[in-house]
Amino acid sequence: MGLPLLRPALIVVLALAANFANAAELAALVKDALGKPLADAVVLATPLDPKAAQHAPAPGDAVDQVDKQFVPYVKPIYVGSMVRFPNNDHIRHQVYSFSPAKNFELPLYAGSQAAPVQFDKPGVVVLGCNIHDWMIGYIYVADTPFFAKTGANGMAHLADLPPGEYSVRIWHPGLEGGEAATKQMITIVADQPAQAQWRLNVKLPVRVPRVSGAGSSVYP
Amino acid sequence: MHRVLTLAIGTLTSAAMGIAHADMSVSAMAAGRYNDNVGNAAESDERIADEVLAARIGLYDLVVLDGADTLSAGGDLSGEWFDHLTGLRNASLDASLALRHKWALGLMAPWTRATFSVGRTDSDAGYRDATWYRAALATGKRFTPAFNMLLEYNFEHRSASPGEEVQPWVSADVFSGNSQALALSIEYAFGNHISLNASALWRRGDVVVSSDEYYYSYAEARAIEEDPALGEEYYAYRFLGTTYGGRVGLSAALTAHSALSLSYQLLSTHAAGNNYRNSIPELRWDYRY
Repeated sequence: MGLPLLRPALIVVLALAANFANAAELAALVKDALGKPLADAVVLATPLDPKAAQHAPAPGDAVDQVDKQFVPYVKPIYVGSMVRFPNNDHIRHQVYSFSPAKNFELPLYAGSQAAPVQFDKPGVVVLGCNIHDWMIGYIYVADTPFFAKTGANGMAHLADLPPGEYSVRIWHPGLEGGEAATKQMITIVADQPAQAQWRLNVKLPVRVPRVSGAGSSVYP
Repeated sequence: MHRVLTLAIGTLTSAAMGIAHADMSVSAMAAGRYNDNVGNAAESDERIADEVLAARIGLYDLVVLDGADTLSAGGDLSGEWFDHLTGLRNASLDASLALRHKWALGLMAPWTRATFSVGRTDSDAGYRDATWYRAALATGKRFTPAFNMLLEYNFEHRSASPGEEVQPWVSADVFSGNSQALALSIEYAFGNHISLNASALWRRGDVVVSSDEYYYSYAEARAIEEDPALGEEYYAYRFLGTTYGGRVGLSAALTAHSALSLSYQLLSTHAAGNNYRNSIPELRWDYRY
């Protein structure tokens, strides 16, 4: 009785397993215009074959709040993902976003009281806290399941890419010129790691300072 | 001065222990400044300049009442060390309570804040000791993450002990007084490290002028008393005056929690038919955590 229900799932799992069996990795190096490694850049690989992009959203995505900052500063997720916003400070935060990709508000909360939020539209979501104006974070809602974020060394590793042609692009909070200008076509060959490099014009967005030189001690 | 320090240390310690899980903010400031006219002299040959080292440490707790309203309560311990005018060296302790309302959600939302502060300043020259009360109403808005504006009105009352009478029928309570002030401040960030801040000030109220000449004792003087902290044969006069001022500063962020600033302030006071000018360059370090 359960077999008819299980069969499609089994086919998807087998198809994915077959893909992964020959999957390869893309190592992406992202630098700024001066040649310095660029952290917090999101590398997105979109397969030209749409079947390769059939993927379930990854569970367990979270953007934490630690020392009155969003951690991580940039969080890439796959469209449709649910994201939790645990608060690891001993105070309350009020998280919000006015971004077209997701307009939401989590009323004041502490700990893990806030319900997860589903991000069902691709794009950039800028996070803020209504109590602590300097808190800013970014969720990049990707339209492809194949993405990774660069670390301090500017490297991002996109693992388990099924063989095929990919359009690979970059997003960064300070990217000038738009994502489309960063596009590179890359061919992934079975069991062969691929490499690519980008050099981008980036102007870091201005963040509200925690301490002001005009300074009053009244908080904030 | 010792009394203020003892009280301050006790208050700050108990506050820190009692509110372990609160949204506490510790702030500190250290500055070096030069004031070319400490005594507000009208004539250039009467001006006394001095270098001042100033420091402040503050402890504030933010109580979030709801998403729109926050209450900030805390206090500062501060002091000024005058290089030559030793009688002006002082320590202050103050407490503040501020209620802020944000008129909408978000970074750019306009806000209004009402603050009440009370403080005590003890100087080495004890006759300058005063207790002060200040009520302030401020409103501000951030127009972009880089551009911030603030308008603040405050009323201050200072209460000091009268000195010995110098002139019959004229009060000797120079260091008491009232004033009101309006300040407009803007801040603009050039990226994440350098910012420019500027403010314009208008102040109306009691002004203290110190001089070794006795000709100031016109009918305009609201009070006169001896002021040996400025020098022998010096007298302090309290007049009703108006001050116009401006300040520009450049700030560099050292870390996420600290900044170094260089500023210049020019004050011009008009009282009793005379003009008094002060120019005050300052180098300052701010920290907040």
